[in-house]
Amino acid sequence: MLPAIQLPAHGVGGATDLPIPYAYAVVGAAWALAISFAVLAFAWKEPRLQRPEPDVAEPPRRPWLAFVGLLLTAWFLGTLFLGPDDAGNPGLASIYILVWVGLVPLALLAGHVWKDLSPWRSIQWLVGRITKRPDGFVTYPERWGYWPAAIGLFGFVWLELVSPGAGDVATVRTWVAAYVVLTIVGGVVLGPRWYDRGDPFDVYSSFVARLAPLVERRRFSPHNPLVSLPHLPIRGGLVVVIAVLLGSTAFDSFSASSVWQRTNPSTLASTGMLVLFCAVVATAFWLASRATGGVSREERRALPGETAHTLVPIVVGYMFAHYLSYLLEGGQRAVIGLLQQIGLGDDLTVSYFLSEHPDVLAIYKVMFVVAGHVVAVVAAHDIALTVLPKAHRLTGQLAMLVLMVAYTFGGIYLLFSV
Amino acid sequence: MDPVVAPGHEIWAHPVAVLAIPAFVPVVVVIVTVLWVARRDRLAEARELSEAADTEGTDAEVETDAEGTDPDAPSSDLPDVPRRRWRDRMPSVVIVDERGDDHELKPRE
Repeated sequence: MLPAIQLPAHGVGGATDLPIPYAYAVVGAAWALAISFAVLAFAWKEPRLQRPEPDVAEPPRRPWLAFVGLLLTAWFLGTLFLGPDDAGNPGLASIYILVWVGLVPLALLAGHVWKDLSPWRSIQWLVGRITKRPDGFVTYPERWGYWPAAIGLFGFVWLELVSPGAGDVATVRTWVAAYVVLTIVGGVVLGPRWYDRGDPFDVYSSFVARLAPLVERRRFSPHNPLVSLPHLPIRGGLVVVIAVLLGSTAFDSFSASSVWQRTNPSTLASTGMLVLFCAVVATAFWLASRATGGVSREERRALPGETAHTLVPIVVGYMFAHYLSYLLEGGQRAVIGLLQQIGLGDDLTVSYFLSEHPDVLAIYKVMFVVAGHVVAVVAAHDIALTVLPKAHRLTGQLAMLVLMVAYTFGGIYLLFSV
Repeated sequence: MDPVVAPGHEIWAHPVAVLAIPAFVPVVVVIVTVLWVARRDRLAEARELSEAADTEGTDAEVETDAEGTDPDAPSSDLPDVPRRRWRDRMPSVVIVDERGDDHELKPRE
């Protein structure tokens, strides 16, 4: 049996083993963004990524993947609820690492395969067939948009980063039980649209899957992911979902800093700071995206939604930068722990390659953050060429450039200063 | 819990303040350049519009002069304006009936 997976108060470990001075990373990343913007401004004068989405119907869920999803869910939840009652329960790591962090590389590699795997969709499908109500009993209100997903995501990051019981099995069991009940009831009542817009993990996966280069519409189709990225559906709460993802990652770094730890913050103070981080990210983006001339009031109001997809690469970059070592090394421990629950994996050992080579880890972290922002600048420039009037195509992006550099600056500073 | 307040000199010596200047220098350069280019474009556009307006004013003046001349005068006496076909220069009578339709009276054959 492996020793218990020690989860710090915020659920996952921080980056404490970076050998290079973060000053170089911060300044270099800011310069990379500014140079990228300058090159784009003078060399990329017409939209190249805005193409109509192919008029192809969404393919049905694949039954064999739905079966795999049910098996995995039974394995994970069985371990969580029937396993040890202490922090050594591998179910904790399976939720925090394999599900939450592993969702991002899974979506990048296999697209929105979460939709196929989702056991809650399978249960809703079964109940829909029995009750002859495949689309639920009530139409999902349009005005809800992504707000249920935003609330669910905030609930999860609060559990992971703020809750004093983040590493407590009973607390996580309670949260997961509430999520399962709410998700199944929501799906049965509101139909599959609940999962498309309300299930936090489903929505998160669908956002990241826009950047999958090999998969489009959940089928193998190599393509330029920057072309599919602008097709992210624009609905209410879109900016908030992304702000929760981005703000919570930044808060995760900040909450592990000595400055914050010295204050010995209460749960209420930590909750307030988490809300503040998310609010700052959302408000700054909202203001920067609207800071242009030559548009009507209605056009200006639509700009945050039209440009929100440009933040998705930043979210992905930060997720990898922040949780890379945790995903690869903690993920191994989680898988081995899960295998041991069914009598396998006793002879498996964890490889700590990244922890033994902190310089490699540091390079990867900087690379992910910078790459995420550079891709975001490209996507933002291209959408600006489409939605902004010709006379304001460049000047209308300046506020966004400042914001991107500020995100990079703040992100790397927090990441490296912990 | 006592609030943590950093003295003024520590704030200025804080790594954030030290890093922000070199990090944002290229951003400032880009912003100034883009604004300068935008201003140059705006001035050029305004100049073009002004020149176009001047040209249109000259054309209108010439057209007014052409309308003020005697249409029966010999063509050699007319100003240098594009010549119209002779039928277009024929006088016509236009009346409006109760429905507002125009009826042009044409010479009987």
